[in-house]
Amino acid sequence: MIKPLILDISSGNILSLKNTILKFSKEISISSEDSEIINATHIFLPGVGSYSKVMKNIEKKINIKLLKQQLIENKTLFLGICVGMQVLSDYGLENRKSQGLSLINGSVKKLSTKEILPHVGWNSINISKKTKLLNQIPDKSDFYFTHSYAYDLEEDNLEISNTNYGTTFPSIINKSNIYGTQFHPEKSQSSGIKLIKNFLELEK
Amino acid sequence: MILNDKKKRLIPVILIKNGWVVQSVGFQIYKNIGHPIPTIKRLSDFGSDELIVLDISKNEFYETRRNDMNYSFKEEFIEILRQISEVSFMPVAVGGKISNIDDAVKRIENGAEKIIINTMAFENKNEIKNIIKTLGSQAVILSVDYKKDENNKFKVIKKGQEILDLDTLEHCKEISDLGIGEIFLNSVDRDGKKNGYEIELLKKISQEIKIPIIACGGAGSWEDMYEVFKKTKCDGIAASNIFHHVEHSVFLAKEYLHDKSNEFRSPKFEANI
Repeated sequence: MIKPLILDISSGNILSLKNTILKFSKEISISSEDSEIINATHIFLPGVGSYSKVMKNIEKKINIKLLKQQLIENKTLFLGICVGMQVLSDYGLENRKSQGLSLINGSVKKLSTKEILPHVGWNSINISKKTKLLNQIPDKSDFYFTHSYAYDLEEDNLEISNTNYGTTFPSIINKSNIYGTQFHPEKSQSSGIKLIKNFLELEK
Repeated sequence: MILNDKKKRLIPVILIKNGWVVQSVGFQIYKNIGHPIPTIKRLSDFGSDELIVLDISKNEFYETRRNDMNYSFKEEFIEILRQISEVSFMPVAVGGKISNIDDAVKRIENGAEKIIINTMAFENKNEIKNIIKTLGSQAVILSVDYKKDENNKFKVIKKGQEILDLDTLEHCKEISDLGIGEIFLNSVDRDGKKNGYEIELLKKISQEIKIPIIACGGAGSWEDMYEVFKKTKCDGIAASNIFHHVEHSVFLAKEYLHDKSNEFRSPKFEANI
């Protein structure tokens, strides 16, 4: 049986994520405790606000060493959402330069686009790599975005999809058991619900 | 070639007065539409891009006075908000009665993606900064109600009634400099009148202010909505009454707009998979 965990880092609205997960799993934990991180099969990291603030909350509430150990050695499945994806990088430049979790090499920079920022609303993904995470989700499906900063991957082949907003940026990334989406699947109606279902069906 | 696949947003606005969804005309006349939850579920199932929920109750009493529904009756707005997040999987922006950071955080923790401020922009700009610092720009929308005065100038309206000697564009500029994420512009003159959007002002503001602008007030047809898209740089097209009075309204609106331009999401039934 799966044991999904939403990492509790005071990340604003996590009700929709919780309600979506509960469609596919009888139980769910919302916690930052070590024991929950050890027991979880699928860990979600939702993040809103700025990179530096999310990292500060993570450092305050979570045993980062243990989390990284679970992800790297135990291969626990992980999905970072929005800023929760961005902090997988080495560093971010929002407000000031701050260190990230360094789980997927790269950095997070302001979108260099002539379009207005923040990038708010529905935009489509261009799938660059086949993955079970996108099972039954066709190319060009729309998802809900709200951000001004985006991932700059060091290794381009870790990109699952990209999105165009006057510039092209990675909208889904993946390295081994670690996934990240720049958009909010829990706010993206049927396509987003499907993505979360697919993630919960992944096995390590 | 530089590409941009972002879609324009079609945003139903739900007014909640003492637990009921209501229809408003000129911010003064209110007509009861029904229980909020089935209304909102329907809008989500038919693929609204986003939702704005405004609490316009005049007191703290919220009551639907009906128990003959599948959805239980809730007294508090926060409870209604929690119910909303169980039936809708789209971004929800919430406004009304937010006068400090605690009010804002409480709404975010109970299912809102963004909060909408209005009166605070006249009374407590520092608190707006605090809210932005805590929740981030993307979570804060400034709502501005405006009216055309006898000299054809667009003046800001406070608390739905009081006409201020304050130019709408200037007000938007001043508050957007605080770092808010979006502006929701509502024409009091056109509220519930079905005579089309205030194109002239929307065009001006959406050109001069470089954050997403949401237009509201006056939608009488899907053509009116298309006009906003064609003639202004507004990113969101909001409406209230028209979505209540046309069956399968969101689906039909999207069908019309997507047919005209692929800058709108194609209509799709989004009910639970």
